Amino acid sequence: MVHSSYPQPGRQGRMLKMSELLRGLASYIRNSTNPDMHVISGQDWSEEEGYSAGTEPQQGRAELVDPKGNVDGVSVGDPQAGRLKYFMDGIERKHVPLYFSMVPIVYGYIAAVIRERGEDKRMCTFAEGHAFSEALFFPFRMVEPSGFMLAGLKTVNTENDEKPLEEHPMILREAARVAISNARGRLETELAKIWLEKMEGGQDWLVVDGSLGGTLGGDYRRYESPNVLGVIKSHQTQYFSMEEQRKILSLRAGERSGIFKPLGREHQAPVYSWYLRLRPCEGQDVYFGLVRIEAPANDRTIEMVDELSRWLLAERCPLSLPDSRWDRMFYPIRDCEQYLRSLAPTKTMLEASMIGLGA
Amino acid sequence: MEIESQRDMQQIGRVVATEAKPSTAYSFSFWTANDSKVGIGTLVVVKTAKVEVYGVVVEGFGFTDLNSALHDYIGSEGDPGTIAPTLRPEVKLYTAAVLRVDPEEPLQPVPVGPVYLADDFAVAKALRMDGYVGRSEIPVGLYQNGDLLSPVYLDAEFLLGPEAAHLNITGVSGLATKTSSIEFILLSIFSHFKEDVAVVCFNVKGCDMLFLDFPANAGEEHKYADLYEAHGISTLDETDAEKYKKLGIACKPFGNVKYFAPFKADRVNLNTLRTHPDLIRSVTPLSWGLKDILQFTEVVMNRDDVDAKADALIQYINQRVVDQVAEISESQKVEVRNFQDLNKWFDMVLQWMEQTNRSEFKTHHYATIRKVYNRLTNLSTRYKGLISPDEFESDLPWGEFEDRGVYVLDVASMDAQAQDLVFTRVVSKLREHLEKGNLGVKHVIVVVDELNKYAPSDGQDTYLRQTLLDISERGRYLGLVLFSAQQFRSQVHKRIVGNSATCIYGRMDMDELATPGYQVLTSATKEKLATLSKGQLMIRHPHFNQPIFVKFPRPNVLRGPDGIKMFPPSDDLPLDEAVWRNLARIDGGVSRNEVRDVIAASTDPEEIVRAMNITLQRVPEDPYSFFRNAIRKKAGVQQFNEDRPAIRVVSDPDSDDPFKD
Repeated sequence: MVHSSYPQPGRQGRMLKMSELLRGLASYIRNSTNPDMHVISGQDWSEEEGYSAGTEPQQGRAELVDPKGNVDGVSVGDPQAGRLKYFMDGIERKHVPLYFSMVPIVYGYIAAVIRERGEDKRMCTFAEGHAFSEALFFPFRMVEPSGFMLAGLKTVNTENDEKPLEEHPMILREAARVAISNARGRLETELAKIWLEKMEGGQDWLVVDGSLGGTLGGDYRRYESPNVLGVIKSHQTQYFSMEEQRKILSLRAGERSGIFKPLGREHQAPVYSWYLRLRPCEGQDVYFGLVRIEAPANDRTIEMVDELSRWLLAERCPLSLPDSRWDRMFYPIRDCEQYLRSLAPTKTMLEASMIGLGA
Repeated sequence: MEIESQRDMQQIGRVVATEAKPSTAYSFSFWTANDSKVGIGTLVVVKTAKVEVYGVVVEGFGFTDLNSALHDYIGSEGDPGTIAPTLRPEVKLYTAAVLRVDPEEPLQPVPVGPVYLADDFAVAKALRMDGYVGRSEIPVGLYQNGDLLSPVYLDAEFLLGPEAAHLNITGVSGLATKTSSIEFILLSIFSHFKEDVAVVCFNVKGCDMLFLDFPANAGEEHKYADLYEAHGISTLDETDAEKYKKLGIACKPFGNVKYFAPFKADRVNLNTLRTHPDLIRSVTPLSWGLKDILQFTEVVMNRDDVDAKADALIQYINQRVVDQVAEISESQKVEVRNFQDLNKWFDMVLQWMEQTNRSEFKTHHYATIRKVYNRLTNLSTRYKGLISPDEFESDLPWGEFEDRGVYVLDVASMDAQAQDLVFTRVVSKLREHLEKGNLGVKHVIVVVDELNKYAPSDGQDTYLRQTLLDISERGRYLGLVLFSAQQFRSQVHKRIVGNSATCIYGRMDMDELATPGYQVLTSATKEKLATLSKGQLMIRHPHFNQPIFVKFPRPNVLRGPDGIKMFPPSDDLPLDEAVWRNLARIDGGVSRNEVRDVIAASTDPEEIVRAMNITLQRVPEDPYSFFRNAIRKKAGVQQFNEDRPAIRVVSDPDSDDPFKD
């Protein structure tokens, strides 16, 4: 179940539904007599984990598609105000409020938003551009979900029929984490589709936080030339040999690498990608200010690569401090995060809903 | 008068309470949209299902998500001209002080909830005006909430007594704060106060209050419409008219104003700027005689002079000499009715003592008598225009004060000690009559400007300061109310401003706002006070928990400088011309030439002045004949057949007198 809100700036009396599930869960626990239920009210609360959580560094494959035939750095020119008008990001929250016979029942909250930069340069939420969902994640094979369902609580099975999970609480929690992250990805994909349906053929572009292939999924081919860019801040996957990678890591501020096509994404839309150094990294880590950009795999991307890079360079200001990833985080993306965080249930809310239920 | 309930208020914000900045029972914070019409002084309402909280905005903050200025600098590459593609969200956060909570118990921290702009009804509730509107309300201005203008009322029982009283106004000069606001509030009182009231204004500087009977704007039918147009005087506009309408006050000047001014030293020209020929008739001379002054000798005489002995002699004169036939010796008696008579009495006493070689007269030592003689007889010289040497007296209409009457005493040109005398005597008389209930009205408002000059917080104690203190501390029981104004409140005696239940502040000087008396105001309120525009005021009133900002219309009263432009003061007139004009005031048919002839025939100008003043005082049917007959000849032949002779020396024959034959 996905709740979509229709926020309009300045609209009066807007009610934001938040964490009805938590309230329902508290009521369920209060009324339950199951002796196998173990309620927790004081556990860590994960706010920051994203797609990269748990991802190990890996070597990927790529096909160089740049007309000049190498990954060598190219200056893209001065920052330029462009047509990047929409920005999308998502968040997820995970918490284990209770165990059933030592099976963790994971509460998951996911949300995504597309924020629009108005004529006044202020960010506001794109119509129908906000969605959120919450559910309890656990393997149905080990815990019967009907009790939760009868109580009106949404549940998600974390077990794949093809690959049964081991009965190890930590493995079950990791499975829930993956399921929640996947759900978030799907939510973002859903929002991106809404945007694409509405904005296809327009001049303005959408910047997505993260890989474009994941966001657009297999539906990418439905759109002839979507104005969408993906910005990847983490570099767990390296696409080139160390010699080539050295050139990429040596990019100077305002330079981009040659364009390449990441391979091994059979179920995802093909994209073209390039690295872009946003800020000088002298005296900093080699990844400081380095982002990887993804764009639809078509000739237009190759033609526009420098222009798109200049648009992105213009987004360096204002800074996203105090975010720890400020060197790679575009301010409008941070704005998306801030927006979502302001509406998400907090640890305090969750703890408050569980108070007195653990005894 | 009822205030309509309009409950469809506009939501403008939401209360926020954080651990760092929690709500309390007395203050709360809320944010608003960037374009909301909220500012310092705005009245707001927090409405939840259980409680309504009324507050006034006392502080405002605006901030973005920027943590450090350095971040902006870095983000802009050090170039202030850099235009960022995205603007940071900017929040406006306001702090409001609680004015009222409904229900009042239990008193709890303000709940988180929606915040609305107060409408008329909410303004009335917030300021607790619902308790007295319809009973004793006095409009004082309009509170602006967005585009709404809501009337703000004072409670007459707390403005004019008996619950509390007095009004004090502070503000820098020249910004239509003090004089204009006092005039407007007086007009408002005249329109709305349900009991009878009169006003005594002391015009202490220039021409501030000399044209209260003229409108600021003259309609076509006005007698001086052309003059107004010629001078381009039209200070009111439509917005003022609307404000008057909204406040239910007639937009017109004072209808019953009487002006009083002392004479100049020549005792024929009045010491005022309202001497234009068209206006001089409305000015009554202020001239006091011996009896009027003798009660207040301590005011006008040096403190060192009035020791116990001198005081005893003055008391003796007051009780045993004045207004009766005083006996110096068995053979010498004199009736003392004015300063001239008193001089005569002193001469006779001293002469008698010298002749009889006595050192004391009625237990009073010769030196004391000589000293008091010098000081008292000097008074009519020192205050020649105010103190009448003869029997002529002209005073305020004690006992005949009129409801809604304004009595302006122009003391602007008098020296400090003479002003002291005027203030002290007038206020004493007001109090005396109010105590007896025979003034003519139940309430009198005394208006005094430049209070930091007349009742300073430091410096030598004066009778005037004591008088003002006395009004502020005890006046409200009698119906004697002080409306005072000054530029620097901090320099006024604390007990006077402290006793003013209602205080009004116009634009203030920052130095003044830095003084301890303003510590209760937030820095934002102080800054607003320092930049208030014309026609805006901040009000403190017993019913208002917090100061409230209001706008008031300009009074429909001709401003002093405009009045002077239209009616420039006349030059001092020569004696014959002045006498003729004065006599013409009571009878326009008096011939200038006849008056001149009479004056030319006399050799004593003092006698002419005396005769003129007596004529003015008596207002006879035939002023010219009365005046002519009133002039006493030098030779001592008294043509004027008065009821009682001015001086009557009685010399009974002494049987032992060797020279009796």
